[in-house]
Amino acid sequence: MADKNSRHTRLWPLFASLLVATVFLAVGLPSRVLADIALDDENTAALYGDELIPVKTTFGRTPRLVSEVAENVTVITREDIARLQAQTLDDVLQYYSGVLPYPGRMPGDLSVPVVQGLPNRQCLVTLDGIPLNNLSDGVIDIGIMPVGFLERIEIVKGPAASVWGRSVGAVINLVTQEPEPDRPFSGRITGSLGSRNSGYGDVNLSGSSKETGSGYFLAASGHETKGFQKGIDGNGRGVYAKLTQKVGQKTDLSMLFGRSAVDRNLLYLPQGPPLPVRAENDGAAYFGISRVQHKLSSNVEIEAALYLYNLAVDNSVFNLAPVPPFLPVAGIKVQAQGVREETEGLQVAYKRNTSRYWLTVGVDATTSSLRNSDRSLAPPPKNSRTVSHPYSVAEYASGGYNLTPDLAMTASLRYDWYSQLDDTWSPNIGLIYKLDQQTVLRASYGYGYSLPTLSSGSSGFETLWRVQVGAETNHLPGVWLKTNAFYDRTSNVKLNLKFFDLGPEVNRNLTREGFEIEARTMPLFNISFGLGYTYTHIFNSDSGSDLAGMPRHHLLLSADYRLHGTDLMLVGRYVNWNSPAASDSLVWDLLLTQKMHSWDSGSISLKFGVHNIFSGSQYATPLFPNAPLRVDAGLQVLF
Amino acid sequence: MLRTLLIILALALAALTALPAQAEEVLVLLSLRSQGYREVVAAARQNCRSSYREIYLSETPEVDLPRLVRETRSKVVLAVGDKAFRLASSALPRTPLVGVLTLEAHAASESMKTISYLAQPEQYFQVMKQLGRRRVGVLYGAQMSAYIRRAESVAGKSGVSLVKREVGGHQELAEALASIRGQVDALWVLPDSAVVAPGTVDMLFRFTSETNIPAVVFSKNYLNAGAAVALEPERTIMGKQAGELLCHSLGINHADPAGKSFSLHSNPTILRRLGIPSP
Repeated sequence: MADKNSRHTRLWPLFASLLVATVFLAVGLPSRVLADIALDDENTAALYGDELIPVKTTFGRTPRLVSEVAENVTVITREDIARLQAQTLDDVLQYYSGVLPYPGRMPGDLSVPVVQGLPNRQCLVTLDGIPLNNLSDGVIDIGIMPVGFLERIEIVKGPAASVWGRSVGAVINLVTQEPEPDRPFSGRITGSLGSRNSGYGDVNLSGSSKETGSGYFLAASGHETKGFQKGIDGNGRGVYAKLTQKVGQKTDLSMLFGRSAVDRNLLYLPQGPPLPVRAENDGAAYFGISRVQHKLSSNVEIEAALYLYNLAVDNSVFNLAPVPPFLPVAGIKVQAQGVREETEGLQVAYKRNTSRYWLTVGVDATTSSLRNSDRSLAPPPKNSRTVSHPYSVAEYASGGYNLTPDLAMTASLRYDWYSQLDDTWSPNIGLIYKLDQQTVLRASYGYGYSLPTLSSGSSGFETLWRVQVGAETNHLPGVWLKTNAFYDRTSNVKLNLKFFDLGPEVNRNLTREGFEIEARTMPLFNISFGLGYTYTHIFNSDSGSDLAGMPRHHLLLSADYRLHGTDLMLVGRYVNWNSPAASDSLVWDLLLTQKMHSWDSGSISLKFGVHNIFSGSQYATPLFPNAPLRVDAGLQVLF
Repeated sequence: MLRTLLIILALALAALTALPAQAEEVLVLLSLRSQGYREVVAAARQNCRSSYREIYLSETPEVDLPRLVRETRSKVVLAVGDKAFRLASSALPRTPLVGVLTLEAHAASESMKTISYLAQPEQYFQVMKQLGRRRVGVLYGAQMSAYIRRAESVAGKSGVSLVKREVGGHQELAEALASIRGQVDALWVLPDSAVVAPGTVDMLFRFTSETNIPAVVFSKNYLNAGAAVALEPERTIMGKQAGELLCHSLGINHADPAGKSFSLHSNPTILRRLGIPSP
């Protein structure tokens, strides 16, 4: 116990110093740019009856600016995604502080998000607010999700169960693109080829008509590789369609449909037992969402969404060598797992937004059908099928109140009831203080939970409570700086980072503490520099012992040159996995977009990417090594 | 085959980097994403054909404007909304700037032009004269005090006597209205959140109804609630005007001339009840 306490006393002064330094820098330097803004454009727009175009945010489930949220939020825009030349969600997330796709060996790899050290089911991924994590074990495969149809990706680091339910460590909300508002026809075509027979292509078409009030957005994408490493290859494809229709001045209807699928071959050659195997992973997910939004007045809106989410995953494992007497020859299907899930859901929300306060009150309900099979020849042989039909209902209220022009308070509370589990309450409270127009201070307390896995047979939730404080400032000359420090305690967490480790999961009570620093400079000779650093210390709350194999240091370095249609990024990525088996070389990527020609409504650009320039090894375990140097090049046409 | 293709692409890239790319000439900064802002920008783009790049401040809070302008090689900035205008004028003092849908009285310079969301006091006073009103009551919060000072300075010339009351918030409205009862023959309602809010609209128009005076407002949205006349901003025209100014800054001459940026709307039922001919 003494050891545990000493660990806390060692780290908290560091967090405190960091925050004090940020605040000191913020208040100690003269304001650089803005005077006090007396008028607020949002108020003005409301007074004139100007209709704000809804921007979905993860937190609060109503349009909010990032500076008005008490949590640690990162927003990745469509423009950022394009600059990163990303193909799938794992490809984007690897460039953001505190977020790791694991194992993330190649674009579209079978990967899970690890946010500030908590993996798998502890991070909830949603698409326009619809949960995508599977119900059987809570895992989300982020390599299956293409990003060509996304408008934004929002990452909330910390518990958001009070708003979204079943999330412990983080929420990643994917916001889909809307039809292009001012043109009847526009689009994008991208194509690239790369080393090791890899290729990528996507096509988007979008437009709308003011006369009829209708709009469309259609997208298709595909990627393929014959293997950046021996035995690891795969392909993926996705289609997405969104149709929108205005009915009168107050009602908006939208329907979207999407389907993503992957086929992968994944080779595992461990140094010792278990046996070397080849795995096939085929997955397909499709979703359909119908949404209606109706304005009751200039600041009151009611929204309802009906959705369907279907997931089918097949994992097959083949032995690469005979193991007598059970497996006399190579190539036998040793294990076959099948996951079939279908969820229908209804979300209804009432939203009120005024200059003084905002409030969202809503109900979420789901009914699901789960059919899972697990057959194994490896001793002990197994042949099981499980079928279940869980359903759930939740009620929530989320809001914020401007106590003074500079101080706002946010709060949310959610009650979840699960047919096959217990019920739970999730509260959250936060404060935002605008020191001046350049500096925002944040503090929040939140509770999160996630569901036990189907295989665990447990009815107990994984739970977490967390406090975090942060500051964001532009006061430093030429530098934008954001800091955040967090401390949380988890209970009953079933942690299993090794994606294919079939061993039993271990329930743990964990403590996690750490901090993040993000900084960006103004351009110097047209080059701006960026830094992102996340320190995460995770230890067993009961024994005080460190938890090995979790990311402790995550560092991102970037140099960004942008001039005359040239956009050149050099990014360095470093992860220390706190494990003797890990390799932690700094990996460098170079990404170039060169605009060749542009006109009124479009452009042609050449894209060129060199990934892992020095073929550095960066992995948590040699079982999942990262890809060495790879190069790709292609063209993008916007019209 | 693939290697050859990559080499060709790399060589093409090396050659193409030397080619000049057409830059975005107009950087469009928008305070937020709204239908009205969208109409303005669409009209500006239609009236001044050039290349545009749009940035929403509400979605990129840490935007680095000098870098953006340098990178896009933008010759002029179109700022939509007060926040966008303020940020652009502070961060880019030497870049030509056109502000539209702004409310605040911005200090204009040679390189800065604004198209206000709010009609000039003279335009409102002209409407008052058309309605035959001379004693005009107005309630306002601190943020509109500069506009009210300007209104006071021109009221006499327009033949209008201004009866003004500053309020600290909605809770002072009832008292302020009571204090001008009988002293005014029209109520002038400004886009001021200290005065106009969902909870205060009824109070304002109940006052004008009880005292049999017309309310002159800034948006036709309030006509159904009880206002008599509104000077409605025409966002498409304002966008066209912005397009004209952008074209002027870019040295392009083919912008179509824009029309009047405010149009007069009235509620005939209210006017009839008050016995006032339609303006």
